[in-house]
Amino acid sequence: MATREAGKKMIMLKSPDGMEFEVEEAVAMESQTIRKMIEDDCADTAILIPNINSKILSRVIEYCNKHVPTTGATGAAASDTVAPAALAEDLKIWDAEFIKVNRATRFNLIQAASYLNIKGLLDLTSQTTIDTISDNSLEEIRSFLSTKNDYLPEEEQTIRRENQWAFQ
Amino acid sequence: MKNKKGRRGRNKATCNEDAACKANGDRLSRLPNDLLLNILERVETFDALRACILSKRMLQLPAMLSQIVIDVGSLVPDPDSSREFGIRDVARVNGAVAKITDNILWMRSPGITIRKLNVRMVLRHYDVLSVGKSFAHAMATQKVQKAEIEFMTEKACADCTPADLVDFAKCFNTILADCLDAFAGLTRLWLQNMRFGEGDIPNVLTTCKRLKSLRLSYCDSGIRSVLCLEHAQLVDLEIDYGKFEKVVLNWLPELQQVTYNNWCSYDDEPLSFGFVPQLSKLSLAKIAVCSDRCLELSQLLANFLSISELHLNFLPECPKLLTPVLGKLRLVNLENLPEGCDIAWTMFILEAAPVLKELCITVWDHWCIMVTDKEHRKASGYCDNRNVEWKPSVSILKHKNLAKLTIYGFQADDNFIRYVRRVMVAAVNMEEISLHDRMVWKCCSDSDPKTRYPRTDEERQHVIEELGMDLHSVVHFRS
Repeated sequence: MATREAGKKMIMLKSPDGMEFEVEEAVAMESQTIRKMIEDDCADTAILIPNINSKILSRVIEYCNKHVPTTGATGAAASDTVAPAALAEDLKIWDAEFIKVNRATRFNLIQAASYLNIKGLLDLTSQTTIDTISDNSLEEIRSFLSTKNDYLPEEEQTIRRENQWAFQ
Repeated sequence: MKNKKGRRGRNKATCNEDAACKANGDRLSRLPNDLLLNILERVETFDALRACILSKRMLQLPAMLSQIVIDVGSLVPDPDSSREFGIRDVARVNGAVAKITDNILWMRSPGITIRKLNVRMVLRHYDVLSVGKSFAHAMATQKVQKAEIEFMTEKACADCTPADLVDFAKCFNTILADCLDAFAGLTRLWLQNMRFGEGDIPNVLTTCKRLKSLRLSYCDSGIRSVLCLEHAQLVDLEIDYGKFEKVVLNWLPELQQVTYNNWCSYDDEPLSFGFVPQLSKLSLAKIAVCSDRCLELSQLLANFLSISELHLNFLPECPKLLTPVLGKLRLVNLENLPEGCDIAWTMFILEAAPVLKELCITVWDHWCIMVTDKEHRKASGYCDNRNVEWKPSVSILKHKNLAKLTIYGFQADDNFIRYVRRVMVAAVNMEEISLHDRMVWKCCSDSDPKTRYPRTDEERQHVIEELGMDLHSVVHFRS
């Protein structure tokens, strides 16, 4: 849980399942949706984030904490000594670990990133999802994406006939 | 690879997840369309389609894609694989490109702008005609922001006879005449392996009115022909391996960027500049530069002083002559500087270009493609004078703008250490020095001599100490 630091404005985020998260305003403003609420003065006390449960919301906050500019989770002075390129490299490694989640969580994170308008997180989650498609057979893709086969047998025949290239 | 990684990435949770998926049904396709499209547009359209034909729900999506990238290359097996790929296979996969393009562009949901439409295919008459018609249909019925085509030929450049080059150009000309509407809306065109008749290339430009980017590889209008270019919209021009004697950029009011590689000209000025008021980036590369017919860069650039980015892969002539024409450079990239030679002369760029922000140097002898036989080198006019004569023209050089130095092929030897130290002393506002090892291509991974690039922390620390300053935050070892 975030603690109140001197001079830093805090914001309360509430998930629909009743959990409350106190975060720095700068961290919350990684979300363009929340940024707009704050800038429009609609965020006096607490912001209710609909549709995003506490488990997902805490992951989203974790992501924003790491990605907020100048002061990262590693410490306030990081950017003084580390060059931008090195910092970017570090973030990439962190992202790769962060996204090692099961598919259900990843799909939920996609929706959360979209609603909260956090481009970096949307890119990360979407790209990870699509990366599994190339170089795999259709059945493998089906299982990676957990897509349900909803064709009738004759429909599937037609699809196979019309898209022969995909089955070769 | 990806496959394995994916499997490793998923841990114990996978079992629970699979159970959950079964219970909850279809998870990915539960996402709203805009998010699904956002995901699918990150890959080539063939891959997106593979994902879409998995379910009825997903099958509606291809008609809504706003970015369509159809590449015949993605249906061709990896060249390392043992699968044979003959001309019949080319016909089959190229046919699939035509059919998919046709399907996608004729069944679009109305009112969705196509941000990018990009097709790469083999130049086969009926396939291209079909794609041309689909393009024209899309352009007539909805907004198409970028429309791009790249044509390959059935034969690779190395296998093409002069007659093949002429045939490919004729085939293209016929298609151009039959698909005027499609070509009129193109924003990018890349042609390969074509020997046109005189006036054909200007005709292509006249037809392709919206063209922003043109690339010609192994194309010309006859050996030692002169190409004169005029176009109102063209921004980006790239020509490589043509047999043009001269390319005249006669009237290109929007042109910003020119890349000219491996020209085959006897003229002192293989490239000449007419009305090109926006041109600021120039990239020139050549495998063999003849000592007696060396490109006179100073002469070439004399009428063209607005250049701000310059990429070269050969040694320029005497720095003294060049100094007056480089005043506005902001970025310089020098490639293929010979190994084992003093690179101090490149400091002249700092002297000549007071607003320079970024300097990138690649020191590399690419042995695989280098002609090493002395007689052959002489006969072909290769330049063996690998040292550039230079003396600093000011005793103490202070450069206020240079912020970034990148060296590929860095070795922990005196030559480089002295050089970096020298640049550091001059560039008082340096922010970032990136040091990379030699490039090793697949072709020369066996023959490459031992590198002296610092690998361990200890070696790196040593290099930094040799550089003699507290540079930990500035110097980065990237390899």
